[in-house]
Amino acid sequence: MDEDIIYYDKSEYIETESGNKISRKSVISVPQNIVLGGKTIIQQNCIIRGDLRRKGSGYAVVIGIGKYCLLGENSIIRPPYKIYKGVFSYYPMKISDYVHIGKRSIVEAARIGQYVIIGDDCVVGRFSVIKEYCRILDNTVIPPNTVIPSFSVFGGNPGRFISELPESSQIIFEQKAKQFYERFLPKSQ
Amino acid sequence: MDEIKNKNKNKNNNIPFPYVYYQCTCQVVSKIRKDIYFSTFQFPLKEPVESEINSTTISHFPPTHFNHHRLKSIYDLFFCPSCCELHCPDCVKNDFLCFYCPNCLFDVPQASVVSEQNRCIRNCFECPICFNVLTVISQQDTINTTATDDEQTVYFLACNVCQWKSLEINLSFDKSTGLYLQLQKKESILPHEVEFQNLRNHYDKCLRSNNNMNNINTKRLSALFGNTSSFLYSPSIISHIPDLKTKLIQAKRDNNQISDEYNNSSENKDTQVMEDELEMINLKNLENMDELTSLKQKLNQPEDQPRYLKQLRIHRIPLRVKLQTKCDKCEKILVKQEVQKMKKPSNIRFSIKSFARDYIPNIFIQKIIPNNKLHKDIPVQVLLKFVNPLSQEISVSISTLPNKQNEDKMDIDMDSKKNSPIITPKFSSRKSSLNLSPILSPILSPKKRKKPSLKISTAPIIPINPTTTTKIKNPYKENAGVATCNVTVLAKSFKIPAYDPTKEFENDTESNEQNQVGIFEKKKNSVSIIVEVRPTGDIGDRVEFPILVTYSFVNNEKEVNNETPISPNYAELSHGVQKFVSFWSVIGIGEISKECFD
Ligand SMILES: [Zn+2]
Ligand SMILES: [Zn+2]
Ligand SMILES: [Zn+2]
Ligand SMILES: [Zn+2]
Repeated sequence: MDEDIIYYDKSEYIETESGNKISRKSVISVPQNIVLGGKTIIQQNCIIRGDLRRKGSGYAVVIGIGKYCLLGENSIIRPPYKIYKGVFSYYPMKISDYVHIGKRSIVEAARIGQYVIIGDDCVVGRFSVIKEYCRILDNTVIPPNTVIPSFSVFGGNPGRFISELPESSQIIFEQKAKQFYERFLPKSQ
Repeated sequence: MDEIKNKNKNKNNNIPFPYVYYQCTCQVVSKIRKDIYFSTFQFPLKEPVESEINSTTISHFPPTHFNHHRLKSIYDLFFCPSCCELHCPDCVKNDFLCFYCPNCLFDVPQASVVSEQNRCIRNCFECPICFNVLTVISQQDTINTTATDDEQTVYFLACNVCQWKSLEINLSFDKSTGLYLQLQKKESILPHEVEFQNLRNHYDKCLRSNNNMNNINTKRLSALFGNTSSFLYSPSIISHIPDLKTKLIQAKRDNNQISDEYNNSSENKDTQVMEDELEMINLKNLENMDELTSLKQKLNQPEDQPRYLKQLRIHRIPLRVKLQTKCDKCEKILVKQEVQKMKKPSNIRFSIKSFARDYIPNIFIQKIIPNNKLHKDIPVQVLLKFVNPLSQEISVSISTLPNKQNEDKMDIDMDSKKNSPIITPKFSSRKSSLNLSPILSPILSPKKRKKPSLKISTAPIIPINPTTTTKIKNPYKENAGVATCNVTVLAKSFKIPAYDPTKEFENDTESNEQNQVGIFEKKKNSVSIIVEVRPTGDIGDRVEFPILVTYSFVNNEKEVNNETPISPNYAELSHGVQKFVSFWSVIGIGEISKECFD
């Protein structure tokens, strides 16, 4: 069954050449440091901190986001930081293709693999690594440095392994991500 | 009001609307088994039912409401390319593939798993307090010391969740790597480890001597007696006196029984003795409960089950296993991940994957026209989209169950005979299906045919009397809720073009050819057909109907190309042979709501 179309206000969104749809109501600091893969949707009131980067001049990829991703309303994407050898520093973040991040979630992961669905109101701690085909349930708090293996469902606070996903989840996640993009359309006025 | 009461007794177990679900082959197998059992009352069944499954037998066993909870979504199903059958998680074998650490993700070879006690030997440790992963931290990073490099840095493990530090149990490391080896040294002197080692040594010894006794090998016997006893028998003497040999063994066994008992006091003085009284005094004088461990923490350390947090130790992270999926019938591997021994896999890759959605026509409900609430006797049109995932053209034929009020209106069966090609299994008339059934007919003797179960009890019972109303209690009606709608399919057979990945990003080109009757549209590798559904049930009844899908294809590929994973590997299928595959799917579109006469 074709799911309902999600209409958005055309004046609110910027559509880039590669099909990214970015809300003007989102805060994207230093966009030059952010790479979007195409057909990615950034909804209103998202905050993407491209300004938090290692010391140095010029531009560098601070946050890389793949294609068919969704950053839900009010979500915050912030590169992870740590003190290494006595020096405080930010580290880049990589989000792969087909990753959905729910509303009001805060993500400080180091890497998120393909086909990952993060629910609403989650916190993904610093330097956590989420491998491919994972699902983070709503209201989950993933502690810093957590590694989430492929085909896992994590939930709770602190986030714990809850169950395994079937191997066929890739297809479902891919379809969901693609369909969401196709359903996300401007209002025809 | 009765109607409302009657409606969904087990509403919660029902699949939410709208849906397209599939019946797995194992359901057919179990139904056949059941039928055979009821006709013969013999158990176990002698016939290997599984080998009889083919597209014709499947057509005789439509899903009923009784087993709707056994229906599967296409994503849960596998397809065995050599049996050409659907399989679900309930009818596949899950075999061990490899061990891996859920934290560092390394695949661990089976050989080292035992010696490493099923736990990871890399820097993967869990917090003894909250069981989350510990991180290595150097003291330098936490305290903003202006320490110079020549000063030795101390490393410790810290929990990111509860802020526990290994320093609390006086555990720190000189290096940030190889923590397991550093820890192992400390662990090997723990009382329970020492005790375990003693026990092991002792029983190893016993085992060795027993083994030697049991293999009556004269050479070994002499060597053994030479070592352990003062008696010296020459092997030739023992072999010459058969009675002595058995007596000797008996004597030795008696001896062993005594020595088998492990006497810990004599051999080991390190064993910790529980000072119960002292412990009690300590507990009574306890002022702060925070020092005590929880039950979960105790059980995480079963060797000594400590009472105090200070006695907790760091544990390595337990390994997990990856599984592979095999066909229950032919043992063919259906799903297998690539395993790189002792390597960190970068991405999950499948060396084999036989998911049903890559083999069978994928069915979607494209649209329901009009997409309003369903009312009794107001027909709706359901657009069913069939997508062909195969790289060859397939012919699809569709059959539905005979309709409730068909007899007096129009004969669908006649229709289907006209339109459908030979491949349509002639199941639609249930009376004839019995005679056609290749598996049931030989089993059933004419005498036994009279038994009620022989009416293929598993087939949904369509009320023979079309005037059946709620007043006449139909025993099947209440439970099954079947035949809550009349279903008309005009396009009973059609062809779906092959899936061509190169065309995926092309725009849809409207074909100029005249569409077949009952076909809504054709796009690339998909065909949408119109199914007219007229709800006939009562308010609250679920409108769902089974359809039998039979598809056939000819294996055109001269050589099976293993490089493309989507292309099915029909190894058993010789070139040019037409293959038929059947399955039942159930389509649910909604509930009948109250009639409104606006
Ligand atoms: Zn099954
Ligand atoms: Zn590990
Ligand atoms: Zn902890
Ligand atoms: Zn098989």
